[in-house]
Amino acid sequence: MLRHHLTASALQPSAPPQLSVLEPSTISRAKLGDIGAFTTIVEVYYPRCLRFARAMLQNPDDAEDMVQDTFVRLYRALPRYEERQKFESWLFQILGNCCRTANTAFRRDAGRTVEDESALERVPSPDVPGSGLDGDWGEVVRDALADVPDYNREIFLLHYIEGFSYEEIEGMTGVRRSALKMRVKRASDLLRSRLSGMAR
Amino acid sequence: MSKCLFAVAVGLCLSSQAAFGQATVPVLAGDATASAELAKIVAAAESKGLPVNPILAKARYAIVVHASPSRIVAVARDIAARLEVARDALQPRPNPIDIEQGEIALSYNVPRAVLTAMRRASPPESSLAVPLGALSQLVASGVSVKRASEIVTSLMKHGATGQQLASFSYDVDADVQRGGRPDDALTVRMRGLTAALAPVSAATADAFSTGLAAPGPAKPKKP
Amino acid sequence: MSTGENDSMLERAITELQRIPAVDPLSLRRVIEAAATARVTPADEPLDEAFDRTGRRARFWGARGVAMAAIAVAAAVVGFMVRGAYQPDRNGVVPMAPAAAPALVPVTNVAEPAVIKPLMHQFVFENKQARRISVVGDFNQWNPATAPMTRSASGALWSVLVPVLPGRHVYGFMVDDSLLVLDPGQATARDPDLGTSASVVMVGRP
Repeated sequence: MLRHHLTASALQPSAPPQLSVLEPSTISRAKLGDIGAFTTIVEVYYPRCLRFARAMLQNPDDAEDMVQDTFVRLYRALPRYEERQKFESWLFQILGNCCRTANTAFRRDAGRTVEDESALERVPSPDVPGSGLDGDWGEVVRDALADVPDYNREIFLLHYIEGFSYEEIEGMTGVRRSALKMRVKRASDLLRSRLSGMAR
Repeated sequence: MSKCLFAVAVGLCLSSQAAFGQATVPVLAGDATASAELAKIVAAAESKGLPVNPILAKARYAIVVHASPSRIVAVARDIAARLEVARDALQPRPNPIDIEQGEIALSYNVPRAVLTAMRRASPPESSLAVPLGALSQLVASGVSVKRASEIVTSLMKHGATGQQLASFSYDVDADVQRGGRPDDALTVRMRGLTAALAPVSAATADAFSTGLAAPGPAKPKKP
Repeated sequence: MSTGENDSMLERAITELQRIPAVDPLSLRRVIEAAATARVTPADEPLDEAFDRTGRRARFWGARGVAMAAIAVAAAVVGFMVRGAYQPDRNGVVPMAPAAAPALVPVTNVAEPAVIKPLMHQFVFENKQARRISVVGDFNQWNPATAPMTRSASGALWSVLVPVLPGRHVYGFMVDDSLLVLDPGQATARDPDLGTSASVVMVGRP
């Protein structure tokens, strides 16, 4: 029997948190170079961007770097921002690009060898207390998510965590809707499988 | 037919917009003192025979971008001062439009002497609005003030039209936007424009672009 | 484990992932400083990744569009003459007062403004959602009421013809009376007084 990756009632894309509300004039002023308006944009969106980048990159330092890079790119490109695209979609499009590029670079530079000792400390081990397998649900979830391939994870996060519709994600990534749904299904299936394995 | 009527309506509307003329000093919301100060600056400029459009336009723009009233007043004062310098630099009979464009050039730190040199390099009755505008845009694009001033003055002397100067400044800006270094973009575009300006030879163009042939201010013509 | 339990677990995972992380205020400050430093560089490259898919459409005006524009210009000239704002000179060229310019007070050492002729400049902007758009700039003192744009038949392109004096001008588009947007197809420049950016148009004599 075909197992649905989601039950209709159980999981709906989250509405963007209330803190993401911006006055249109703030974007307009930031477009004109008003640093005060840009500061407001950063204050409103930074937490969500950091959440997304951490889920995409795992390493918190890399995530912070990518979010900073995203906002710098955003600020430089703001004068050319066109209102026909939703501001939030545009921002996450840039962030998604940065994270994808970073993941590719990290893979190329480091291969599968982990030399960073602090990174080794963050890898969960079944033998170590507090590793994520002893009741820290957040760690469990993040470890399971790390096993989901980047290209599926990104769409899963955009849809279920950041609350973008498939139509919006299609506009942001250029990937067709049917393919997006398939990616979310694969991410959900893998996540579910890892979580149930850990819970067993 | 209906489209033609619509076009006529648009045209009539435009004519009424262009004929719309008398501008008023904007009121700075919530700050009567600053509003009065702004009105005083405008009145003083007007009494000196200076064009006040740049002051009023900048004040309205500053309101749109939410600048503080004190900032608006300070900027208005700066513009009024620059208008006066521009007028003096562009003697003997500066046109109001040239004064406005001269003020913009001064706002980008173009020295007053450059305005005077440009005035002397062109016939007394000709407008400098486009050369001054092109100069400001080149500097705004990141070209050094010295290089931009030399090149625009040289191009004027060699008969570049307003349209050519306007396109030149656009092209340099576009090259810079694409990642080019401003002075490199200036040199490259200068070569292209100079080639189109007969009888200036390519050799002269190269001399301009390396700064060797950048002429100094022309001597004033004898009456 | 049943499908229902698995979905419940996934739901819990999503709730966990939705938690907003704590933010170090120093990180915010670093971001703002880095952005401010980056913006002052004159060679602001376009963000290729973000613009690749949106693309910019060519602003091609077919023969019908040109004809309509010509009718509009002709009507504008008639309008000026009726209002007495324009009087043809001996060469048939029509000198006129600058667009939306305030009264210029001539003094002995300032030439009359009539020798400078404004040129009709067409501003075009693409926006499907807006209800009203005006072009605003130093040539009309940033007043949206003076140059409302007209929506094209397809509903995406807005345009207006505005008489603009030769020289360099800064402008933007006022969308729905509230949002000031720069022209994506034109150069932008930083205002030396206010530090803000605006689109730039260079109007030269033909």
